[in-house]
Amino acid sequence: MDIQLPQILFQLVNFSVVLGALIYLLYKPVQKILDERAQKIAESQKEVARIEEEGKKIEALKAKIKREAEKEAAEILENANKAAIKKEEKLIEQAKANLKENLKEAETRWQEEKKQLITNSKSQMVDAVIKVSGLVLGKNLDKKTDKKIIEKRLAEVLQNL
Amino acid sequence: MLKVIITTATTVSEKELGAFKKALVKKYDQPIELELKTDPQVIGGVKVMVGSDVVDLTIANQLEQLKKQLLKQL
Repeated sequence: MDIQLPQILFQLVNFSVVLGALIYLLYKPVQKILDERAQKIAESQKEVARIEEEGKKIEALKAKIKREAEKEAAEILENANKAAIKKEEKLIEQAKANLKENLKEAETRWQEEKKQLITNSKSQMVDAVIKVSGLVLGKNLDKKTDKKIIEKRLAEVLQNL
Repeated sequence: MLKVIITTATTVSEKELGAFKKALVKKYDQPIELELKTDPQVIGGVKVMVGSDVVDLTIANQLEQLKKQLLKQL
């Protein structure tokens, strides 16, 4: 076997040229493409991270708004309850006052009516006593006694005339 | 002549009122005509009307006065 040095050198040069051409024409563009791709991927990842971050911020904001809204709603409810309780208490007080006033009026009316009833009863009793007295006297007064009374009264009449 | 109306519960005769009539004549210095009325409602005693003057000393009137007094005190 003959080792032909020029051939080897030629092949080496040939190979180098092909290698150089491949590097220049294929490797560098491919590398460039890969680099670009890697860059795009990195950018996308950055974007995703940014979006995720934004999403987290939005979620946090949502949660904050929700908490504040719940807090406000609770406050409104509490205030409404307090107002309702206050109103109820006021109504109860008013009702108590009205009842007290009505009772007082009823008591006054009752006392007046009682007084009137007592007066009427006494008046009727006096009437009855006088009537009965008249009847008893009328029945029991005999002519003789009446004549004595008449005599006595006539003397008084003369004094009064 | 002065008319005098006398009202009593029981019947009284003019004779029984003789002394009274004399006293009236003396008091008024004129003849007196007695009109006698009987009214059981007066119960007892006598009511005398001389013109517009009335003196009511009947038991009925006394009871009425008593009633007024009692009612006044109520």
